[in-house]
Amino acid sequence: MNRRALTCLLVAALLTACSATPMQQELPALERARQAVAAAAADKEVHGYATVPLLRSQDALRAAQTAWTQEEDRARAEHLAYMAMRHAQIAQALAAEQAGAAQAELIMEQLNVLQLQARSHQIEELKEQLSKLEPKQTAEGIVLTIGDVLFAFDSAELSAAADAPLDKLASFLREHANDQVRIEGYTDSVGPMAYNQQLSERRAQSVADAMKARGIASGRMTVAGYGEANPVAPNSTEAGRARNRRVEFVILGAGVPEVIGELQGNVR
Amino acid sequence: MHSRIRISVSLLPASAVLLVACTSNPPEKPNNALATAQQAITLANREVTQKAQSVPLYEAEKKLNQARSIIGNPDATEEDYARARRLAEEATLDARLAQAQAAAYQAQARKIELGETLETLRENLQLEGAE
Repeated sequence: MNRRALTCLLVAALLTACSATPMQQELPALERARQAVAAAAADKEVHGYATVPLLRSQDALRAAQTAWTQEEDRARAEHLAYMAMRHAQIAQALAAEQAGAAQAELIMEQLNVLQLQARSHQIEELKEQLSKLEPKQTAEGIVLTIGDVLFAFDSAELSAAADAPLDKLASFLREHANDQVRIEGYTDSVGPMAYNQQLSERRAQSVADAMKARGIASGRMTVAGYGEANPVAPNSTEAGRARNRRVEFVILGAGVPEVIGELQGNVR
Repeated sequence: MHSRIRISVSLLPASAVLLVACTSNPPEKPNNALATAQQAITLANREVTQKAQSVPLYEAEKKLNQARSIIGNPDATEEDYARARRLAEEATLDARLAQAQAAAYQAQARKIELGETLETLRENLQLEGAE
């Protein structure tokens, strides 16, 4: 009798125990974990970059569910659920990092292509500009001439029209920072020779000053005046005299830059 | 009825003896788990630039401290050690998440910056081309 009663009690107790455990009841930690794992599993980037942490999160979630529903170990279930949630979040963060890095790499490639394009565009532009400056190859280096627009008769003051060619020259010199430059001033043949000599020196100097104002180190530039020597056009016409009132840039390049090299080819 | 209760109550000392038997083995401190957590936190601290904004890093440090104070207690039971181990394991993942989030943030910021540079360059080229 006693024994039977005990058995009954035990069975009843077990049943009560079972129904009393929160087996049907949802564990909030488990629900959070389930959501986090589902979010990671639905993330395309996770499948591309973070499969292993995703698998870890799924394993931990299964273990958490077992701990809750079968082992009835709340602390262990909550712990495993937390681990599952974190693994899932780590998977998403790692995937976002990898995907971001991959996209950055793609943008970087496009940027390189575009920069190359921009650079060759710049070189083209520069070549076009410089070809207007009548490049000549001499024993010393490349000679670029800025004529016509620079100076009025009997003046060492740069005209406003000189700004554009001077800007181009300055940007060319900035790109070829290793080359020394000699700036030579010339005049037309009108007026006394000694006066023209001085005038040509002042002209060369005002161009050197303009270059310095455009950021070219004065240490790279030497200045010389040659008066009415070496005319490039007959002094008998006004047009010819305007061309003779000029400044020449002699680029004393040990390593003649590519642009100049190509320009030589054009000139020949 | 009365006797039944007495029987079930009499089971209690037995289980108590069992528990005592378990704890009588010198419980092992979860030192490895704590060291791993510390390592993960150190790594995360190097990566996370905005520490005031990283909740996972804060949680990692809090849990590691809790785990430390548990195993520092001379009266700690095996159950306490199990709790300390869980805290340390959670702290490890908290720290790894903080690190991964920081890395993701940086990758994203770099991507955006490069994208803006690209856009600017593109616009400039188009302007020049239109000239």
